[in-house]
Amino acid sequence: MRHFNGVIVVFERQMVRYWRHKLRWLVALVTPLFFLLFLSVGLKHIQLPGIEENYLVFSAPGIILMTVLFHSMFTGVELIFERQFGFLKETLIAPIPRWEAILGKVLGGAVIGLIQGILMTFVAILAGMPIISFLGVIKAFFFLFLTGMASTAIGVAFAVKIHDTQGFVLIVNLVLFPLFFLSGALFPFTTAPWWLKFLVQLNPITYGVEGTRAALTGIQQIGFVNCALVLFFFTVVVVWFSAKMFETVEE
Amino acid sequence: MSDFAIVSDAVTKRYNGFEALKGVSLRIPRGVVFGLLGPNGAGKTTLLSIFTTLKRANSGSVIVEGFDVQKEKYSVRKLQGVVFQDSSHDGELTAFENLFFHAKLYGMPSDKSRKKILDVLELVGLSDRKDDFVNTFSGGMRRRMEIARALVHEPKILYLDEPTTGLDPQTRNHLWEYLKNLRGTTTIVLTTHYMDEAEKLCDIIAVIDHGSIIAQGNSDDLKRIVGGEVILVRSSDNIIPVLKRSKFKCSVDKHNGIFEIRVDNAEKSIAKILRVLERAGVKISGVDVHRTTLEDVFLHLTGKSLREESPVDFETKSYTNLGRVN
Repeated sequence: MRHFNGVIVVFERQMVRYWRHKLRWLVALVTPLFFLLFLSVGLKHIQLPGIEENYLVFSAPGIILMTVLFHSMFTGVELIFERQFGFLKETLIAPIPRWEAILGKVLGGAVIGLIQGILMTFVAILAGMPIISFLGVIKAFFFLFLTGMASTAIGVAFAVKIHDTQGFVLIVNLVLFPLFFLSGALFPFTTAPWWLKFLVQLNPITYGVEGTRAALTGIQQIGFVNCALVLFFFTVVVVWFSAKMFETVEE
Repeated sequence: MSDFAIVSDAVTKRYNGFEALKGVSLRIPRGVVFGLLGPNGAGKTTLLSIFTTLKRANSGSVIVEGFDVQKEKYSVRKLQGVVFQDSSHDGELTAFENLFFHAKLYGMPSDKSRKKILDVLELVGLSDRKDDFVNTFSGGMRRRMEIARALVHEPKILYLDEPTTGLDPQTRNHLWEYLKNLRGTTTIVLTTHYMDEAEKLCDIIAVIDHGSIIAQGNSDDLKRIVGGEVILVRSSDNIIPVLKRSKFKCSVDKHNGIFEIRVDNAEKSIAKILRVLERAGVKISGVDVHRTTLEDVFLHLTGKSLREESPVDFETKSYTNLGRVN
């Protein structure tokens, strides 16, 4: 396992830090909770065209995925702090390849995103979202985890280029909102205008939302296997890309 | 294997047309404390970055303990410990955790590293604070923690980039003691612009300026560059003919009523000179000695003009008052 030593150490350190700052990421659950409790529950009895289930069932999986998407991407900000406080140099000069450090970070961000996603899933079930099977829940977590990896990797890639936290938050929000609103999380894209439909289908996060929704509730607009494949390849590409970006970091 | 820990040949580094290093060749023997002295912007940190694989040289080669820094990066990194100029720890982890993750990154098994961590924390006097968050440490304690961290994986070479900048005199002296204890077993390469630090710690000093090594040797070698020390004698009599007659090996000048006697070693010759003068009946109203300091050497070599950042720290007194003789 020598070759994953760096991945393991970076991941372990992330976990120690997250555990110490539980409050930070528990507070981050408040915003998605608003969406779930006020938007989804509030619009519960709205009937969507072409969808048999109510709006809560339709939208909850997308909001669960949004929790992961947002939080994981913001973990990229840690890289900026590490640069500011100098700790980054300790990683850069360690006898491990850079990609190991990035993979460790991406896994850390994905795990913390997944934990939030799991908590949100429980809240959604309590709020009235029925689940189709236990295996479906496990499949959904697989989608959440992949989304978490991709999202952390995007955050890290931005953090490589943007050196101040305000700039990072600004840019990341600029990326996150289109990714979320164009993911079909809040509305069925099949009945949307052609241009919106086009954009939603172009957005890789759509496949995460669709996969999670199909796994949890059985509602399907895109085939399950297609969702899994698209999200998987997207994740591989962005993780590879962020590792490449990290290679360019000089002190 | 050669007797040298580090061998560099004609190392150059350019940043956007600016030549930071203009062909640096150095041979650093194993087990010594090697000091790299130079004004701000002279290229010290750049050279260290190349030795430690953080930056790549544009040309030239560096071999560290038999490994090429460009081709065998990870082997080089494993055998070095680095203390950066600025802090590089995680303040939200405890001292122990900082060292523990470091040891793991360097491939040390946990059971071995736990014991070693306690040893090095003891060495820098932080044993009792090992489970405290580093955020709660003072600047000196953080630096000590980082030195301990650089030693955890038992490096063959320890690099310290201005290790005592911004520390109080007590902490500096403590650090020097720790470093002295490592002499012989670990090759230490440090950069500094504190002359007293270089003088007290370093076996070999290299002066670097404008990207080139301009002098190299131990502190006595370097002092010889400036050429002799000065004994100042205040007297109303003319002592020049007296000294000439005595055939004492020295040269004498008179400036503002004070005689400047230039000798090789002031400490050894002052008693003799005073005896000669007294025997000749010269009235002496004051004596002072100006011994050559590394600072004189430094200023002699690098000039006195101010550098773009902060100037060199002038803190060693260059005049030593030996009291008055009447």
